Amino acid sequence: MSELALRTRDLRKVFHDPERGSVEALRGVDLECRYGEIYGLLGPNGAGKTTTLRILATILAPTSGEAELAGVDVARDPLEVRRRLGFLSASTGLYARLTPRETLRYFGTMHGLVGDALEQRIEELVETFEITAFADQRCQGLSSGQRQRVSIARAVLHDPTVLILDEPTTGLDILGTSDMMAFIDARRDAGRLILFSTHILSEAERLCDRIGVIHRGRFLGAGTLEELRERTQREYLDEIFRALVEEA
Amino acid sequence: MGTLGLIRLVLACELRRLLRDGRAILFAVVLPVVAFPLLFLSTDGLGEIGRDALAARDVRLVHDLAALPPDDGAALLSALDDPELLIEAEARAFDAADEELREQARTLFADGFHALLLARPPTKPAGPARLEVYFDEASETSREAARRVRGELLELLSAARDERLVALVGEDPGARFEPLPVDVARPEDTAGRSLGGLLPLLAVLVLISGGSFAALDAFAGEREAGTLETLLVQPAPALALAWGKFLAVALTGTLAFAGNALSLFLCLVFEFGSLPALPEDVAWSATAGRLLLACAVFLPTAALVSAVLSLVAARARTFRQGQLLTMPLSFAALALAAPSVQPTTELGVALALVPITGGALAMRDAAAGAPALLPQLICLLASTGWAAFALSRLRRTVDAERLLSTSDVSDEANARRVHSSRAIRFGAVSALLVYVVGGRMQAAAPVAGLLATLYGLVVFLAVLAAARSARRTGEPLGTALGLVRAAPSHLVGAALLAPAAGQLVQRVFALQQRLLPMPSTVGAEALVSFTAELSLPLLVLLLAVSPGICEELLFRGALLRPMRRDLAPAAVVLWQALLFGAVHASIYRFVPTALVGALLAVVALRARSVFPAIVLHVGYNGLLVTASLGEVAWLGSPWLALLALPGAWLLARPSAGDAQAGGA
Repeated sequence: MSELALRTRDLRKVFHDPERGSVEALRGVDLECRYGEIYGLLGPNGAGKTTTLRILATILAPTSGEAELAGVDVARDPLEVRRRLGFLSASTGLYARLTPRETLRYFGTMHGLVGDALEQRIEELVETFEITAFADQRCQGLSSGQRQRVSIARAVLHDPTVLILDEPTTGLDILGTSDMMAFIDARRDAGRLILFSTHILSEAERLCDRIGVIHRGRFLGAGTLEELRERTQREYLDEIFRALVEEA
Repeated sequence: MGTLGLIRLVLACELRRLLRDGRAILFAVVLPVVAFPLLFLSTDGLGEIGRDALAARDVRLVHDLAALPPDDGAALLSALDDPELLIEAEARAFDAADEELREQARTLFADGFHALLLARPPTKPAGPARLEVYFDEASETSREAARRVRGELLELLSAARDERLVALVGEDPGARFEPLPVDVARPEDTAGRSLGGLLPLLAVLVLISGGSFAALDAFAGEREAGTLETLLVQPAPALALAWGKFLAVALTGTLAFAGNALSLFLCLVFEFGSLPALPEDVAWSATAGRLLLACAVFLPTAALVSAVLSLVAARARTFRQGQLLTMPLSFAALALAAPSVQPTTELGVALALVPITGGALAMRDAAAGAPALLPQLICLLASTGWAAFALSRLRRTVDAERLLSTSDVSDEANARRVHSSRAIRFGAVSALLVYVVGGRMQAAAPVAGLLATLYGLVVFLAVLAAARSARRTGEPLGTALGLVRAAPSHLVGAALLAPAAGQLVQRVFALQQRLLPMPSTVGAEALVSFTAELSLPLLVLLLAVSPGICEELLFRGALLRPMRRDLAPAAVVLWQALLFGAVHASIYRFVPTALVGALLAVVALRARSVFPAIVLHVGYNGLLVTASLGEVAWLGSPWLALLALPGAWLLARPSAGDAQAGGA
């Protein structure tokens, strides 16, 4: 079995709402993900998927519990975590007045890439993600598909060992979704951990090596699709999900 | 990559993005540079062209001078016949009442005439004839015609008066000497003073207007575009992000101001425009040196303005919201800089400490070539300190943006401060009510008014605040008022602090008197009116016990507890000091009362009860009353302040309440 890339223990997050008082967004999430696998975090809207991923990406601080990414504690050393992490969400934008090449150069430099190594890496990504034709046009004129390719290139620029994708196919057309799935597959083959959230069951079935189910902030269980089928005695993922919710 | 390298990287990215945005170029470069040429063109240039055109215009005059002596009429018509006046005169006869004359004049003006000169008989025997000039205020040409005719009339009258005077008494007997002022100021001093009155306001305005787009784009714009989240998951510390973006804002604002000031300077040098009180023979090279020095003196203030602008933009959720927030910021900054316009406002030590005001006055004085070294130095240090403080807040805000990036999380941030925000707002409104309502009641009837203010208004506000707080938290009303049993050691300790508090406030007040002297009429009147009619015990009851109980119930009781729910102790003490200083509604009493408020807050926080604060407040006010009356001389002894040592020890030592709180 490959090495552990991500681990959380009893991860909790409480938001304080002026009207509703305290809201427990996460009520104890335990995850264990390994390199070379695609781990899908499955749950309906508002289940706590985004909160979990944002804590792992150091955007949010956990209220309690532990989280380690690539062997680094996310609360204690967020900068080190960010060096090992690629993060992409559906709401990720690009600087409208920079070109894709300039965008990649900016974030690459931030990750410590300089000189020839940086330029070589940029060229490599420009070719891999078929950005060449518009690499020197400003991002404000790019189509959504072109922007998505630039965003993905930006996320993997520093070759992160863990890639977190929050609802990555939201807003994409069929071709864009297909490209994104191909990209996720390729990263897994390169031995990286891809942790992604989705509420689209077919995506999870098609891609994931393992699936974690989350509902109303509570972690209901995880396993391969086969394991989940066995545990719930259900065939399809929507039935499995419902069974896990009822079981909880 | 090190932090400095990251700052440079973020700065370069921000500047590159700005340089590619037409709006940024417009606000930071084009508008500041063309503002003065356009302004001078529209006021001086176009005004001159308009005046020339008007002066070259022919005007048509109708006159009836029959009521004048024939010689006077002929002299007047001869004067108006001057070819330079361009007056085409026509005689007509008028015989109508006032109202009818006005109507006739309006008809004449509609027919192409511009003025009517009418001689009317004297109103009293042997009095002078009246010469009325009718014109149409709404018509420029008519106004011009009236101006020319009136000018000639006055000149004629003046010449006739002089001639008559000389004929009667010879030379003017009053003309024994002629006062002639001689200005010894160097032209660059005068020019520096003239420009120095304008520059600070200009600097603040242009820094904000020029830097606002950069600030909004760097913070609110990034949030809206969805790039902020990406930036915040990069391995760059918040310090580097905050500084990189701040420097972009500061550079853009400074560039805008430099362009604006340079364009003003060049307009003046090449006489494209002028300013009031600007001498004609200015040595521009010396003035330029003065202005450069003035700008250098203003740099820390410019950094402060840019940091505050960045802070405002960082807290805005959207670009539009940021624009709305920038407007009050501009007003506030301009209001702070406004004292520099008043030549009588001097840069003293106290004003040197005030953010923006100090910098504006220092800039004005440096431009005028009259900088006072010590206040300038203090101002420089204070402005640098304010700028550093604003930057540290900005760094925290950029860090906190991780929390503000989504609506649910921003609710968390807001909710965190919901109790304290409500308490602070309630405290501010209470201070205003006590000032307005209480002040009126006390003005009408000092003793009854004071009692009504304390036991009526203040206690009512305390109970109201506590009831609102109790409803939200579910605790009993008494607890919400801070009426929690206090440790005896805390009560004794608080009482022992009273003399030291009195001494401390006296010292601070004496220091303040040197910076902000309190007029002798302020402060004593209330006490004088009471002391004349009340005995000492009643005075102590009225001025020490009553405020001690009532004010503590409101401030250290009902307001302190909700503040403590979500603010750090230091922030609670600061807010308590500000509110307690504000409720006394006097600029002269603000610092001393704020200091007392802070001390009382520390005691209440330590004791977790309002009772020790009441004891300290009553003790402090009681000592103040008795000492000021001189009834018990030894109570004013400085040695009593030493009692603070055992007092502080009693308050600091662990009590039974600590164990309970720790257990809870």
